[in-house]
Amino acid sequence: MREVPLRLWQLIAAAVIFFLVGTHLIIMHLGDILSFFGADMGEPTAWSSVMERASSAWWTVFYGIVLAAVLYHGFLGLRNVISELSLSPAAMRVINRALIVVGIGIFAFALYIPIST
Amino acid sequence: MKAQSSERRYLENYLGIKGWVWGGRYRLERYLYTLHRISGLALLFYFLLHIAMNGFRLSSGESWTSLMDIFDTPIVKFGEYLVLAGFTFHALNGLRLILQELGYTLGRPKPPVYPYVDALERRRPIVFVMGGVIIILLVVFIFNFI
Repeated sequence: MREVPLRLWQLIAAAVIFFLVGTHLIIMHLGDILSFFGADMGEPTAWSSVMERASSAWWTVFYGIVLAAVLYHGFLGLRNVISELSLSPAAMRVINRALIVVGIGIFAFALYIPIST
Repeated sequence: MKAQSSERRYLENYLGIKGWVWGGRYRLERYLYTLHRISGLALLFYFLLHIAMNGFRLSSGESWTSLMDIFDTPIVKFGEYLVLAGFTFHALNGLRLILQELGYTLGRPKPPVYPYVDALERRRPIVFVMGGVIIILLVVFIFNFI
């Protein structure tokens, strides 16, 4: 029964990912196309650019939301794939808990990186 | 007895893992579903790898710069393009699935008059439009990597 809200939140996370990760990919990976349209983003992977984004509260919040949305959407998708292997309910409970713990751990570590640098 | 036979019928129809690779009568949409899963799992794997790479920032600026220098190779650039391609496909196919799930692509109800057109065929133009947009975007993205 709780599958319905889980699925609904996965769709909401998908919409968030569509816009925020789309923005991230355009800035980080499509610099030449952006400069063709007159928006020069410099070298986004240069250490100075990385530090500039890390010191900005706006970017930290941006990446925090991206992290939460991608980890939730991705791990729920992984759980859906695993659930089709017809595992026992006990095994699925272990997997559910493991995914939650690993997801929270990765979220904490990934958010610690921009905060601490 | 009746319940047993209905349960058996249900199990016979259950494709399990075979259903991931065999489209059957669902044809194109089923293969898009399989590709959606493969691209999703690949993107999740890349995302975790991406976080691990970002961890290099914790040691020093030099280690980060040397890591970026290592990544400045054609093979990594090609991998970057594959990530963009995977994201583009997963995002646009996901948008199609959401619109479908919310009922926006069902169209107006029609009486079942011969020759019958099933729901998948009625929605097929949306698949082709999505495929066209993906191909156009992937061609545009190539210009960033050449």
